Formats: sequence, C-alpha cells, structure tokens
Amino acid sequence: MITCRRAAELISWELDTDLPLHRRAGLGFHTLVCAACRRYRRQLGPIDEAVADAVARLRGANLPDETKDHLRAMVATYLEENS
Amino acid sequence: MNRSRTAPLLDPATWVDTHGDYLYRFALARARDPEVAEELVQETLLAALSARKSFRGQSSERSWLTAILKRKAIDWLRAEVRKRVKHEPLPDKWADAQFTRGGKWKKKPDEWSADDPGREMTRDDFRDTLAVCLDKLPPRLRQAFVLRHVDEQAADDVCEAVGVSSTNLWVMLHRARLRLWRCLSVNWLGEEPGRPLEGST
Repeated sequence: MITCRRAAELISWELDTDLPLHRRAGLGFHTLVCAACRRYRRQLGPIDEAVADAVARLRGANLPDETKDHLRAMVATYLEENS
Repeated sequence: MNRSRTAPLLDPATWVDTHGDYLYRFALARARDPEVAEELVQETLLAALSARKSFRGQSSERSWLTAILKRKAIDWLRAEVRKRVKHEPLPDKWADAQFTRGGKWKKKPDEWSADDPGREMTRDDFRDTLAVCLDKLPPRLRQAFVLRHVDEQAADDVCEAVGVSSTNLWVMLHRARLRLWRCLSVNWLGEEPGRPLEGST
C-alpha cells in the first residue's frame, strides 16, 4: 500500500490533473482504510475553491477612471510626438 | 486574408477604452496588486505604441496587446521571485518533515471544528485566514498556487517565470497546499482538541 506521504501528493495532483488509473486506484484504496488521508482530501478542496473564487472576483475589476484618463493622455501625447 | 495586403488595423487612440479593462484584469490576475497591474498596463501600452509599426495584422489588436502584456507580466513575476527568494531548497524539508520516515503523518489531520468552510457564517473567516496563510508561503509556491487558478495559460506562465517543468509545478502545488492546509488547521478555528481519529494507518 502507498504511504500517507505519497497519498498526500496524489491528493494534490488529482486537483491539477487526471490521475492515471493505477494511481487513482492506489489512492482510492489508501483513503478507504486511512481516515487521516480521507480528512486531508476533504479539507484540501475548500482551499482551492476559495482561491479560485478570489481570482474570479478579480475578473470583475475595472481600471480606475483616473488611471484611464492618465493612460489616454499618455497615448495621445505619444501619438502627437511620434506621428 | 485581405487585411495583410492593406495596412493592418491598429487604433491606438481607442486602446484604453477598448482594451483597458481587459488588460487590467489580465495583469491583476497575475500580479494580484492593483498598483502593479496598472503599471503593467501602462508599460504594455508604451511598448505597443513604439512597436505598432511592426504589427502585421496576423492576430487581433487585443491578442497582440495581450501578448505584449503577457511578456511584461512574466518579466515581472520572474523579477519578483528572484527578488524575494534566492534559492529554495529541493527537496522541501518542511514538507518532508510532516511525515515520518515510514511515510506516515507525524501529526494527523484533525477535524476542522469550524465545520464546512462553504457555510455562510464561516466563509469570511476562512477567506481571511487563507489570505494570511497565502502571504506566509514562500513566494515561488505562492505564485504557483495563485496562478494555477488564473487559467491554463497562466500555469504555463508560472512554469516559465519560476523556471520549472510542469511536473515540478505539481510538486510545488502539493507543497503549497500542504503548507496552506497546515496553516489553516492551526489558525482557522481548527485543531479541536481530543477529537479521536479512527481507522488511520
């Protein structure tokens, strides 16, 4: 049977990629008999979800108006000087 | 394409209005710091202005600008990582120390007494604690973990910025999660004493 150390790696990797069948089976069997790793597996999910949420919230952000004004002026000046 | 025969279409005067917010979000997702993101957008526009004669119209205006920003963001990430950390030991001693020589948990996962972090009452606490724990991560691990959630493209970016293969990225993500999880266990109302753990190996 795989060790808890190995199981912890696989528990993380399955969040990033599809595990090959034999690894999935090894992890499945390990977590069946190991409550500690079951717990770890269950507790990791919310961490990734919360970070994904935080990143998604950034997607709604807009460039502040004063920065836009500044950038527009910068572009206009550049175009004037280099036309 | 017809366009390649005529002058390619770039309209710098409209860039800020047409693409400003898009570029800003792209930068913010990578840098996480609004000030840095604004700077990256500004640098991108300046670089694009001076390079606009070389635009061949093979991509859209937006993807062309985004490609420039992407380079800027990678340069920033790389400098940031280099600035904050000279050398991160491999293998990760901290991660190794979580397990016995035989590969078992030294300190077994406890039940999180604050219960399901998805619940409304505890969600904000969980997020606040997570933010603190994220800041405690070594910079390379933090960048890797945050960028992992930006998009697939960003995962490639972080591999490039941090200088690792995708396999090593998985290792880094594992280490980042292990640290975050331990930090949350200690700081987020976890570690309820005396709750026995049955059937662990």
